[in-house]
Amino acid sequence: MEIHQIVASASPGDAVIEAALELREVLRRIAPSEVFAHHVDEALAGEVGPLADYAGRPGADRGRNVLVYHASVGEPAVCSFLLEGPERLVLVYHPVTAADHLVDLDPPLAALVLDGREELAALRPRVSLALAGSPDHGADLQTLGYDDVRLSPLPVDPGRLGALTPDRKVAASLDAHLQGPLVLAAGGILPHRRPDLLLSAYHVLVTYLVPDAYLAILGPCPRPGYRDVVESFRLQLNLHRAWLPGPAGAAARATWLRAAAVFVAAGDGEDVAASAQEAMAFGVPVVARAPAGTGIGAGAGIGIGATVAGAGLVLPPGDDPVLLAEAMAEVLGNDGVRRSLAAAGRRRAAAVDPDRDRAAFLTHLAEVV
Amino acid sequence: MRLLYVVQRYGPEVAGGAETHCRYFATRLAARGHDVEVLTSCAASHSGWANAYPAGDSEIDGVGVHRLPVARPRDEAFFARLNERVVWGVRPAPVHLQQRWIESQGPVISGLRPWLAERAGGYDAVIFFTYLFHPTWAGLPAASAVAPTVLHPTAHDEPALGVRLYDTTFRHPSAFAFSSEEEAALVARRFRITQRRAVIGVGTEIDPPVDPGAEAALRSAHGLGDRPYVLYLGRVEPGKGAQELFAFFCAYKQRRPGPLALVMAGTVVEDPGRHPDVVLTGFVSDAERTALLAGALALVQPSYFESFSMVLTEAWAQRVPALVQGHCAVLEGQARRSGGAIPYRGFAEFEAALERLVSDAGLRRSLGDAGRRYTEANYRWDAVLGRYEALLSALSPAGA
Amino acid sequence: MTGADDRPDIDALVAELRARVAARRERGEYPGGLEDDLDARFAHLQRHQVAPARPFDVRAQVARMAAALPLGRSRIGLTSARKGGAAVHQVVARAVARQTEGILQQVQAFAQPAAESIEALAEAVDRLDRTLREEVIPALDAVIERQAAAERQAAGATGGARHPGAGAS
Repeated sequence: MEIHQIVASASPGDAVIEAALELREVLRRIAPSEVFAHHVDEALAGEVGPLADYAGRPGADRGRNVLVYHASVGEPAVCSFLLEGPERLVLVYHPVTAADHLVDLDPPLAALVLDGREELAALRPRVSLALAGSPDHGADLQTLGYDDVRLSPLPVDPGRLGALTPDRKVAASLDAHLQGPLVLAAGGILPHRRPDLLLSAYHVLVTYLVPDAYLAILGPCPRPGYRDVVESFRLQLNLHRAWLPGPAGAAARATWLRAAAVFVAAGDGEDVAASAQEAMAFGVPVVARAPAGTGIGAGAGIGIGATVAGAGLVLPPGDDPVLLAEAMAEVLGNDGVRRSLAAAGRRRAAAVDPDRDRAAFLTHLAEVV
Repeated sequence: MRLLYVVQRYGPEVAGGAETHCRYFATRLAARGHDVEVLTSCAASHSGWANAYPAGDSEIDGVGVHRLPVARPRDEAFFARLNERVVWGVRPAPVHLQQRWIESQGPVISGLRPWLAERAGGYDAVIFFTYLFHPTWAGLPAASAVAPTVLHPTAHDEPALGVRLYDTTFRHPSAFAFSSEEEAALVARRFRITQRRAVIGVGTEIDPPVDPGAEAALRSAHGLGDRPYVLYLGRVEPGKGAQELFAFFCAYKQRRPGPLALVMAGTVVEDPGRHPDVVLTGFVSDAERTALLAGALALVQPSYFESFSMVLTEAWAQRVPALVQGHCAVLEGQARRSGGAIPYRGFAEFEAALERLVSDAGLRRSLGDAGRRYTEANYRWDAVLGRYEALLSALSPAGA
Repeated sequence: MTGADDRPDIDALVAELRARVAARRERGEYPGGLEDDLDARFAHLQRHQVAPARPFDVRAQVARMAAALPLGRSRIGLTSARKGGAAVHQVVARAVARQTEGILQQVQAFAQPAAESIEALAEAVDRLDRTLREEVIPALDAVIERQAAAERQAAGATGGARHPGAGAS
């Protein structure tokens, strides 16, 4: 028997793929275990295998296996593969965000989210075990017809970055160029991560409040056209101290976090929530914008709101770059606020217990294996 | 004529080319019988625009001065960052960002617009000095709505001239008064102006009185003895080419030791360093300037950004030859038209020209005489004010 | 800012920040319509998928063309992967040398003036492109922006403003 994990897409810095690679090490104590993906970023080519490689094996060899599918947005090729396969299927649910919130921001992604929900409904008869990271996610799966959804938070170890050797290239670049407080954001250049709102708020910050601040938005820029638009926005506002460094692996993220004065989340999603948790573990105060109310898919309220509430400065929902800028300025300029938020964040990060979450996952998995 | 000048700073203690230029015109026109007033700020220094004079009305040398306070001091940290983005960044920057920049540039004079809106209509002409600063940008539209206006841009070929905010500034005046042909050409090229214009320049006193003991006193005060010296007049700061001049002169002295000294007479904004053959005098009075010029072998004008250079005509008025920055179109033009100065580009030319001047008394005399003839022909105050009154009269029925 | 158990009182802080924003707006520190301006700017870029300018490198193309001239028999390769092939190529080249030379001269007579024309055109296009990018488009953008700002101001004005008679001479 082999236990493999399946994701639709694998790229560096993605919270799900990082958790899957960690889980792989745990699973390898039980059985041979790999991670396969339909799309594999070349940076992960050595760690994650193409799904086609596994799908090409004879069916008889596969029948004894267990597949753990990390479900997120729709991917028809993956759905077809899972529907037709002989393996026992464990579903782990990772919603992106509510489709209705994406419809205006990112119609293609909204469509993928909706497709993903249809695929989940279609997969239900094949699924031996359904896991969700939170009661909200579980309730959402139930609306798709899943009866027995078990609670199993994604094992995330926000403190592990602290033990990593800094990325030398990033450290050297920061030494050479960073000459003011750094506002750090993550999640990449995608519409629902709201890089436009981040840049607008940063523009207000450096034009009216804290002229020496820098901004870095980590994460992939998978759509060249959208990246060009964001870059044009940055250039038109002459925000030459705003950087878009691209995806950042664990060591690079640790290096950026050590240099950061504040972490800001303008969008939502599991990636962003995981990055916020990492920031809190580093004692970097977090400013976040609460996602808008619930809607289709109950994906709203994922991650960031629950992660940061009580441990960071959560602003009301709404596109208000001026309020976001004032919040950043307050954290940068008020020692008391900064210390208080940093301490609250550390306490929250310390309460996260990845070993407990891994144990919960294995306990549930044992029912299927 | 009843005339109002609008300028960012005003007063005999105020150092600054454009501000001095304005004061010279205001004072001399008042002496010629015109009713001249000035609207200005309470700032004395351009660094921070701190209020130094009391607000209210006063009179200086026959000119009525109305002072309004500066609303807030300039935050240099903010201004530096905004300057990077607006002047040196991708253009055009968003309008609100350019406006933030000009407000940060300052001085923002409290109540300027309402004062002009209410009172500018009572003057035959309202004359603004310097395109760069907030009072001109804010006040020119208000005054132009109710009175004929003149702008002395005092513009250089500098990056700030390219800021798009000024596109409409240069559409407001009824006429332009330029300091040099080169400035007129620069502004015409940049803004495609269609209004009336004249090259006025700045007058200078021919044969100004020299206190016979003043030169000796200055030499004694600064340890010059009877060494020959070349003279720099103006603020000692990089923007005026002073640091480059210091470096060039030090290199010259290393290669050509001798008694020659460099006297740098003006407020030290940024200390260029120390050298046994360089004397930094600090701020000097008008009388001291005249005395220092009288004793100088030559004037050196190293600035890259000039719209006229009053020190040049002051030097020529006293038959003092000059070495001028060849990279500045205005200075090169003045040198070419007058025959009274040698332009240089870079150290090699500076060294060669200075050595010629130092060793050839005949050359010094002929350059000095040529400069003097040019200045007499074009920059006697009577001639300058005559041109100026003609421009103002053409705008105003009262002056016709 | 901290609550009873040292946790930050976020509600109080958010309220304070909102009040601060309102006060700054009241004092005119934030210009009216700032957020709308930023939103509209991004929306425009997104609607028209505006990418940062990457000018076409005319000069590089012209340089490549110039490197291909002059034409000559010496540029025609005589090597071959086959055994004896090079010798065959050399013999053939000698046999048709006159005709080859004739063709090359005719083509050169066309290519040289064509290259010079393209260089001149490239120079003109380059100048035009620079003028457009550096002068015309920025000036237009500035005019449109100022018009928009003036329209906003006029829409918010409470009294009649005297129309400036600018540039009267």
